[in-house]
Amino acid sequence: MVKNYLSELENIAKAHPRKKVKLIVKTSISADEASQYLVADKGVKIAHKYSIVNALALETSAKKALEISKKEWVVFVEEDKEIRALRRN
Amino acid sequence: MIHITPDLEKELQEKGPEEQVHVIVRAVRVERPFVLKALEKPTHTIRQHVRLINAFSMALPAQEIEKLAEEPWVEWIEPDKEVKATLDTSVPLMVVPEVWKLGFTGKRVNVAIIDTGVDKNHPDLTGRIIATKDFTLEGFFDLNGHGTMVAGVIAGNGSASEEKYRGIAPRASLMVAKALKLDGTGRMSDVMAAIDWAVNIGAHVINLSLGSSGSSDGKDALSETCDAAVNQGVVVCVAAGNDGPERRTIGSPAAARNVITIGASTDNDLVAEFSSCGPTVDNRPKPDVVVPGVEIVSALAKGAQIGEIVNEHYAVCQGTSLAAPHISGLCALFLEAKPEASPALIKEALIHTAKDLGFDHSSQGAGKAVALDALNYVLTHENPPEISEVEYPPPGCLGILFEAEQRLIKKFLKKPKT
Repeated sequence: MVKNYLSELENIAKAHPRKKVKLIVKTSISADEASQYLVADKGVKIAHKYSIVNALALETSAKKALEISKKEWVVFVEEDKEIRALRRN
Repeated sequence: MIHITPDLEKELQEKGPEEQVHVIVRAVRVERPFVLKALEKPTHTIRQHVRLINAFSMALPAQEIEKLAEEPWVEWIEPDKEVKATLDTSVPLMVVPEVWKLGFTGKRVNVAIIDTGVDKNHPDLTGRIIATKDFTLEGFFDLNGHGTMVAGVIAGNGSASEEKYRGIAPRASLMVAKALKLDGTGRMSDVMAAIDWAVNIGAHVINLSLGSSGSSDGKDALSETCDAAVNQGVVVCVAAGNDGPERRTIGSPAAARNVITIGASTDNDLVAEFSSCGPTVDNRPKPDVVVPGVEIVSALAKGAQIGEIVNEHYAVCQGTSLAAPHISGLCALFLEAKPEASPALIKEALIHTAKDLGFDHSSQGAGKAVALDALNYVLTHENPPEISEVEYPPPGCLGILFEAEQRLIKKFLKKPKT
């Protein structure tokens, strides 16, 4: 199952609120629209805005990420996980 | 009666008593559970059951082979030899040259490769890379070599090998997004951005020879991005992963619903031991098909250290990473033949015409993809109304007959004497 990053984010924010996190935020509105709400937020870097799915990739502090994840237009937050080339060594 | 083949006997002479030996054990007509129970020992590792010939591939210490051969149900034991499927053998194995003979080589089809970049100057690829983008901030080059090998399988024209190592769609155009860094890793968010880019600049096929560890239900953001690309009419081909033979090892984005998920086979039609197996976490069947992915010779990027070097232009590598681009190339051939073919039709064609290799569907999917048969299916069928999960065809007829026969024998043996 896809793990909702929220509970992990809560723990990180509690222990290390300034720690930088990378996350993917699925939204109920378009990425362009969602990014408008984040323009004024200092310390939030929008790494990617997607057009074929309603989602944004963000880099910010754990505390800020937690705040964003509770916005009404956020459907789901997910850790921006590592992906590997599937060559067999 | 001697149940050990001469080549295995020879191999055993060179092995220490406790050294593990990979063998294929062919059983006489007894039931599979009986054989599995007989083979089940802490020192034995059973890898595959080839249903069609009732054989088991396994590893066990050399000193135990003779004893096993004396079992009354053992017909013979032979070495499970290492096999190679280089591009010059994997392409004919998939019946691709017959499709070339019909004039289809991938012309006017754009295949996007999302990987470690590509060596734009490789002689097999020059002049056909029509778009590039770097999402890693490293610069567009491929010192890892993975992306160039993938590109060679899809669209290498074999000009540096007198066409010996020709890819599947040698006249396809390539759009290359670098989303994996020099060390072969990247972030989901960059791969998603690369898919978004490829869809928006007109890719017809996207190849993803990459994935995350762990099993997936296909509901993560990357899998959903792949499904969204398919819903926009792009065929997305994804490597199943290299975490087999354990079941439920299909990760993301291989678990995405609408993509074609590709496992690896060998050139003697076995499923590669490393090829990830289904079902997905939510019990959907995956992979969809298998194609050669063991010891593939393909294009080598200048300056890259990858696999076993053949010469300055080619190297040998393996993994489902090398299997997936075989299908991406095939899709380019199909789309040249029928540009209006939908991703759903292409996926359905590959599944419905696959050759059953006799393995469990969780490892082989529908079986090995056969290019000419799948092309005929695409040309003679309409686009299905929507993308649905196509059910696998039933196991091979021989498998059914064999299982039915076993049930009858069991019933007969249990019949009380009157």
